[in-house]
Amino acid sequence: MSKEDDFLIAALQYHEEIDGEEFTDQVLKKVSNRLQLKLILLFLSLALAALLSMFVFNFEFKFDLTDKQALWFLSGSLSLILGAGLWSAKESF
Amino acid sequence: MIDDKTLIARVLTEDDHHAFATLVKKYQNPIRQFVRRLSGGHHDLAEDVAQETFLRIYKKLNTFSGQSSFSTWAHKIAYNCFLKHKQKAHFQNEVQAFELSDFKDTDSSVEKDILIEQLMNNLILSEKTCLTLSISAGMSHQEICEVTSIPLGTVKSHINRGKQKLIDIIALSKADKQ
Repeated sequence: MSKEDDFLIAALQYHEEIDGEEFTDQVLKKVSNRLQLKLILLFLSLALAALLSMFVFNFEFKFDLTDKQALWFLSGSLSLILGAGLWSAKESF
Repeated sequence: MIDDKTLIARVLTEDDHHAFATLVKKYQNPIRQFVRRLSGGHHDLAEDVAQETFLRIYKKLNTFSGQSSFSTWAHKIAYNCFLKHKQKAHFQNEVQAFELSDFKDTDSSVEKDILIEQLMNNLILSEKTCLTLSISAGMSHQEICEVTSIPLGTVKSHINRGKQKLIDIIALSKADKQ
């Protein structure tokens, strides 16, 4: 082996010992945050689904179909639920 | 010392964060070294990629089949994370390429490490990856194929070509100094 070879192998094989404590803590914190976020999204989706169900029930019996506010509310709720679902799906990939 | 399979089983069945922390502590050093080498001196970006790697490992742990070693599987995830970050950040063009005048024939391991980081910026990514996995991580050619999804013959030629390029640069630098 040439001198250049030796130099290259030695340099490539050098392993700087990097302190793992802080890094591990950061990773675990992110894991916990992610779990919390998933739970929040789950509750948000459930709450919105419940709200929407209640609203649709009321809508069916009490409101006029041309009521603009009701339609805005309905489409807003649907968008939020869809957004939360897509976000959760993106997270799990 | 608890083996990897037991730790993985604990994470999957009990969502045991201590078991996962043990896995992170065990593999953080090689994974961080690997992404540092690939990032060519962008240590902050390398840290982000390394953290993202372990988050993905946590998410995808149930897909680990055990056909390859945990280390190979983790390196594959790190490599894919790096490619994803690279596409987003476009940091490849910003790295400082090695100048012949930078070369110092040093005995210090730390200086050699810095120097090799700069030297490797003269290689294409696949050469850099194969060379790092082969010499730094000590992986077999077959394992490198699994990590990078590059065919075996191409892996071998990337290692040889990459090594030869670096040797040529070192030799040229030495000749330039004399």
